[in-house]
Amino acid sequence: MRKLAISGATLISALMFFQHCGNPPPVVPTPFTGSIRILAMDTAAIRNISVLVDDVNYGLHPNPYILNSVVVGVHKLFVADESGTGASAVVEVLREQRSDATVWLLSEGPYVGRIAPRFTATSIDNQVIDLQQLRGKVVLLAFFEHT
Amino acid sequence: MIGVNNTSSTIWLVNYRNQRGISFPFIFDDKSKIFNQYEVGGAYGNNPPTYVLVDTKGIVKFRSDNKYKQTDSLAVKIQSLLLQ
Repeated sequence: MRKLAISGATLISALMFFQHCGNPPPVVPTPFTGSIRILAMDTAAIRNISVLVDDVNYGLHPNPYILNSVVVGVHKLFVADESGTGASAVVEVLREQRSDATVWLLSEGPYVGRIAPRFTATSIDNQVIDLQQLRGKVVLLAFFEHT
Repeated sequence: MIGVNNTSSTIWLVNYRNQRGISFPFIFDDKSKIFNQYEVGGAYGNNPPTYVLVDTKGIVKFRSDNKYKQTDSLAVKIQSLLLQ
């Protein structure tokens, strides 16, 4: 078990969906990125938390990640699929917590309810626009063409 | 608000914006990278103008195309996000 390193990073996107022991969907390995927040009643009781990957192409599938000796704070973790590829995610463990929770990790996708796909681009004024830097603001992307 | 265009040129966009006195930034998405990331365009069954609203946490709250059913208007969505 990889030991979790405590990070001082601010949790910029915290999504939490609790699901109590449903039928596990089929495992389909795929890389993803995302942020999750875990809430549990007692930090000492956190022993078995599964991270479920909500993937655009394959739908929900489990990517279990067992957290041991978790302390309150913000943690970075790396969730990998069977092939070893994966992505880092941020977990924030809060004081008011509950055990036996299953966390749903939300991936990027251009759909309502998903993390808006990240991009960095240069505007026509040579201003660098990084969507992630705009967290904290409401952003309206206006796509248009002219013919 | 960020304007994203993939069919013209930087010069065209500068003129377009100056003529209309638009203050928000424009991106010329030359390779349609952002268009594809957001699945905008005829290949994805929608035609611009397409608006995608992102909340303060970086979550997509609204798409103006009819790919996904929406109940509130864009204006209502923006107002509710700004009031949070």
